[in-house]
Amino acid sequence: MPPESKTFNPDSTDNLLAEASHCVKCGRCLSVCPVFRETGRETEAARGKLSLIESASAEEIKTSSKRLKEIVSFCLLCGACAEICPNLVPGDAIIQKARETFNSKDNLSLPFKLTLSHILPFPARMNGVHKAGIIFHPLLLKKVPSESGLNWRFPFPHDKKHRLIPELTDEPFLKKYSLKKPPSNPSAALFVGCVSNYVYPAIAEAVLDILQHLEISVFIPPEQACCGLVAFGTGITGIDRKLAQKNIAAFESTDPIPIVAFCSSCSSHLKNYSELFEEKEWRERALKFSQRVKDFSEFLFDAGFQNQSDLKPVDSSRRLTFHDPCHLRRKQGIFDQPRQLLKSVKGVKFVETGEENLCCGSGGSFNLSHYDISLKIFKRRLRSIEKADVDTVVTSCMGCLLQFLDGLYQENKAIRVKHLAEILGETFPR
Amino acid sequence: MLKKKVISKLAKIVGQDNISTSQEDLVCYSYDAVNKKFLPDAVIFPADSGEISAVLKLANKEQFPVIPRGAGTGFSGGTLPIWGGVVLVTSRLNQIIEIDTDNLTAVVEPGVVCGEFQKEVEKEGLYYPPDPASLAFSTLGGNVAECAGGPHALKYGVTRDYVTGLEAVLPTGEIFTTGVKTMKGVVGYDLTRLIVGSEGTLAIVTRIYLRLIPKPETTLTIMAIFKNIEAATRTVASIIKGKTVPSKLEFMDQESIKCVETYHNLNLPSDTKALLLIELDGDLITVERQADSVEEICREQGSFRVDRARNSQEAESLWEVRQAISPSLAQLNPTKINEDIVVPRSKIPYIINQIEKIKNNYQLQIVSFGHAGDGNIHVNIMIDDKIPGEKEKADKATKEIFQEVLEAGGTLSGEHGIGITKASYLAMELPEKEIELMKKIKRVFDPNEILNPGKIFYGKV
Ligand SMILES: Cc1cc2nc3c(=O)[nH]c(=O)nc-3n(C[C@H](O)[C@H](O)[C@H](O)COP(=O)(O)OP(=O)(O)OC[C@H]3O[C@@H](n4cnc5c(N)ncnc54)[C@H](O)[C@@H]3O)c2cc1C
Ligand code: SF4
Ligand code: SF4
Repeated sequence: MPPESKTFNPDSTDNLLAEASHCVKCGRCLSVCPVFRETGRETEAARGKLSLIESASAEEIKTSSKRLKEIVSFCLLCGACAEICPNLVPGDAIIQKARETFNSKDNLSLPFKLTLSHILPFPARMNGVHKAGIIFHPLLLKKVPSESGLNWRFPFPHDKKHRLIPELTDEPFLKKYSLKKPPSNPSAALFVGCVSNYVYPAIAEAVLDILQHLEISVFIPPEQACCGLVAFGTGITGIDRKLAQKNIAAFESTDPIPIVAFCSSCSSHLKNYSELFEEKEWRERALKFSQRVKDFSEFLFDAGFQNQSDLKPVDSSRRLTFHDPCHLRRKQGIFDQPRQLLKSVKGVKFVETGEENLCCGSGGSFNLSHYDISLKIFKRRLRSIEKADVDTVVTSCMGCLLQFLDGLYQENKAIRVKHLAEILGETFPR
Repeated sequence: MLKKKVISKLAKIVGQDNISTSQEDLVCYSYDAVNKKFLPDAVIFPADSGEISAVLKLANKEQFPVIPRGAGTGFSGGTLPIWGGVVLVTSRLNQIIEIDTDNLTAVVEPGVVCGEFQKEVEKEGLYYPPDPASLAFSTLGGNVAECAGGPHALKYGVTRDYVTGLEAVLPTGEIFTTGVKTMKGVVGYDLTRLIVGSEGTLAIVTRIYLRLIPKPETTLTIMAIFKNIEAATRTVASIIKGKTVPSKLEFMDQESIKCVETYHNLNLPSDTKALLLIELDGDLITVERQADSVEEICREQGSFRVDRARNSQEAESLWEVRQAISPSLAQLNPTKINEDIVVPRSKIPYIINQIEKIKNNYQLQIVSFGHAGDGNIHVNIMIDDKIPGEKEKADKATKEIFQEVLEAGGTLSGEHGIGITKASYLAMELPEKEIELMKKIKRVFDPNEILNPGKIFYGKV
């Protein structure tokens, strides 16, 4: 078991929250904030939240206030505000920190606290929970206040609206895979992530096939856990660190081979692990870990997947586009690689769907706590896709994928959404 | 403080979902781009002119201030609730009602964002030229109230030149319309022009009738860099004198270049002291010819590098950089005293020189950039107002700059308005009689002084 993570340090928190005062209230971020663009309410844009965080830090507003928590929950952490801010104010990071600081744990429901602190960090228990269906149990989640932003990204059966809920797999990918013999001399280690493990093992399998096809031998550390991004995003202090420690330890034996993650939200968060720790030992171990992380598209591109001349044409799609996950384009600066990979696919036309880099509206737990707005944000994204007459949307983030699945279903559209690995997996005999 | 009874009446008018009185919400409506904080007593989001009329009638009866608010990006504090009251946000009046391609006109609600309207208009091959640097997020209602302008003012004029009529609600609650939907019209006083630029003190605009022009066939952007500021300002004067009217002609000094480069690297040589961004528009042949001549003038006047944007993306990204300057200056010092003086164009080299002197005298950080083409320069005094004496020093410098501007035949504000930030300087430019006349007009429109009180004129009228 990994050692306890360092407790939360108010000084460093102050530093980040203090950056809220660097906002000069110019309003530029209003033009890109996906939530503000739908609601038109200042409370929903970075500018409003930053001014509120400033007031709360100065104790002009009670940090225990319910409305404060609700307002900071209205954010996708998409980073669009930070990207456009002429003063380089890291809006999303400050809002995340505010959630952590103001969401005192006392406000969480007991079952949820238990799940987060005692189950998520331990894959074996997670499997048990999965089997019993406990984590998805309506009773567990009903008690989570929507404004705390504390919801899990998985699809829940408790939804009042007829949200499309993919079935859980009978056998989690990691469990199935753990029965196989690990390669003696692996050249990459695979990070699987929760959604693929519990909901879409087929995507993980496509990834494995592609890597195998490129003659890359892959090791999948069985002890790996959830990347912790949703816990981090909702500001649940400590749990995200615990998960990070678990993963760092799980991949250490394979140092220095690259760690490949095929969910871009995961890869983005894994690359940021060192930021989670203040204490020297863990910071260094985390840094070593993070430097090895590659997003799937980045890794495939470097491995030259796009240069193969003997790929067979794909016939499941006519016109496709790539939906940039915020965690890929903004947070990792990866733009060209997935495009080059898709353009190498024969038989389909690759089209761009708008210069705007629109968010899909998923935002980790956002689409659960604010479903209606999330769907509106999705519709704006959908309009740009429909205009380009696309039949397949390809992406590389499980959050985006789930969002598209539900959104396309709600809107009754005959457009498919696929993970990058699923499309690339069709280009050679498997 | 508003009485409970008043709040529940307001809630009845706009609906419970469209009023907030919680401290947390009020904080989010307590500022604009001046970055000062005044908490209102309530924020409301009315749906239409009918609701606005009912709110204003109630305000007259119960005597509370109503402050119209668009996007809250004003640079003179126009939407700050300095005496409390109700902030009335136009975000729900956000429909483009009509774009008439037969008559080249449009009808919009005030909450429509300027840049989004421009995009829709351009889809029809038409053009709405007013282009404040805040166009991607400021509202047309706010643009009308401040008579906003931007780089395009040089060739195409400002908001005022495109507004042909308005629907508005008087402070006393009556809904009225001004102007015409035609190209011309001289019936009665020109109330449209009176309300445009009145900073939300005379009426709340609920519908705007605009005229449009055909979209220019092509545009071309040139960037010229200089090793000294005089060469750049001389170039501006020469271009104007050379009888080419660029569609934009913008100037940046060394400090503003430095600040904005941390946001977007332009890869400029380190000894760049000034920069001109120039846009030409029109038909392809004319634009090419004009570009050659402008480039030649730039070189003649001492520019050591003149670049043409190779494509529209490159051009757009240059103009995006231009739009980011103002907020990026906060990197120098936390408090910005933001002036937008205008001088006759031939006086630009002179005024820049005088500002340079004042800057050295007072040992202040003063950054200048702006619409050199029309003589409108944004002069920003960047201070840390926590340091004792800084604010006083800056105020003195401001006054001296204003004196220079007026002596050069200029005006104190080209586009940001007076609001609260410049109210105390009003008498420097306007004669007593004129101010008194303006106050009388305000009293006629707003006898109980409930609409955006305390703005333009210092204190009560
Ligand atoms: C980065 C930046 C760059 C800028 N660049 C420019 C520029 O280049 N040129 C320029 O001119 N300005 C510029 N500005 C200033 C500002 O954007 C403009 O004044 C703009 O017109 C304000 O619009 P708004 O929607 O934000 O209005 P607000 O700030 O919300 O309000 C401004 C004033 O208008 C009144 N008002 C708003 N809506 C109505 C209505 N419907 N009826 C009656 N009154 C109303 C308000 O009461 C207030 O007095 C800039 C601001 C920023 C932050
Ligand atoms: S763009 Fe930056 S400085 Fe401007 S309002 Fe948004 S966070 Fe504040
Ligand atoms: S991170 Fe995204 S959703 Fe959150 S305030 Fe910034 S732009 Fe808006």
